[in-house]
Amino acid sequence: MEKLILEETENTPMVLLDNENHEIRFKGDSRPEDVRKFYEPVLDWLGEYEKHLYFLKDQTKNIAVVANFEFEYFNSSSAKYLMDIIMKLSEISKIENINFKLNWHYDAMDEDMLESGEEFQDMLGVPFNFIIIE
Amino acid sequence: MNSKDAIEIFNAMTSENIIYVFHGDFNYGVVNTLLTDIKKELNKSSADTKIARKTYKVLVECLENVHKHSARNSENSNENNEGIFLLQKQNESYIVAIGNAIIMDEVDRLKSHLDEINNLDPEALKKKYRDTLMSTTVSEKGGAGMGMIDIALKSGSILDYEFKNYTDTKQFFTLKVLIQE
Repeated sequence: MEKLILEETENTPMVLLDNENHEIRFKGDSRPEDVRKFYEPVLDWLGEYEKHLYFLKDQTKNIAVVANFEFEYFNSSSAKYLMDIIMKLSEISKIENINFKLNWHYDAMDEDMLESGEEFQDMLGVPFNFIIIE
Repeated sequence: MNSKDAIEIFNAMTSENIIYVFHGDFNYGVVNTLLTDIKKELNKSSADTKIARKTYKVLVECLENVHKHSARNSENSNENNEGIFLLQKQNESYIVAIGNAIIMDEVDRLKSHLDEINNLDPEALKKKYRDTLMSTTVSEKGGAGMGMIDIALKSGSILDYEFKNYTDTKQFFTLKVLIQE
């Protein structure tokens, strides 16, 4: 499988899906013109990655997988996809020999972003590590 | 219209502190340009970063709503997503107003959706947000049915709406949202 890297634009976030370094990262604003077209490939990639990890776990002990959510803003239809992404990551976190960590970054001036993270955490039962950006 | 009308509109907008107006076709290019531009402007001109951010969030949902839901007679008609949007500053608060035509058949559904949101207390509104997020799917238009709930949550205000007779088949929908500390 291949990495998926998308540059940040004014209405879409930077996306890094890296199966070699086991890093998943989103950064910026998310209000794509076509939210399905933007996020479906991300979900497809995560599905592939999950299979890839099942294959790796028998060969490698302790794989550290890190997901960094560094959104400045996401619109309400993106929120639906973020939930699907976090749900997929939750499945990944349960694979044996996987050491999974989800970092949710939020600006000190943006309580809504902290609350959104807490909402996702409570809804999906995935522990988040909250990181404040001063 | 003559040149005097432009002065009157200008003066009325200045005295009302209306800092942005757009009237016309809410195609995606226009909506994207407006949002990118206003985001920069809000960050620059607002003393209160929290209010500036909240206003931006409400604006995105409002303008995308006009873009997605403004009535066209049929898919292949040349009619555009016509609408209007105003942004007013009142001291450190902002008021966002949008207006667009909607098809008569959709009025009742939208009205009951807005009334339901307006009748929920903050806790119940959060629950509604959660439940909708869990059960919704993203439509062909790219909507998830979350926009109005999100506007109410982010602004903490009543969704002040109205429907007026417009044509035989359409009503004109307006929504006003106050964003304050």
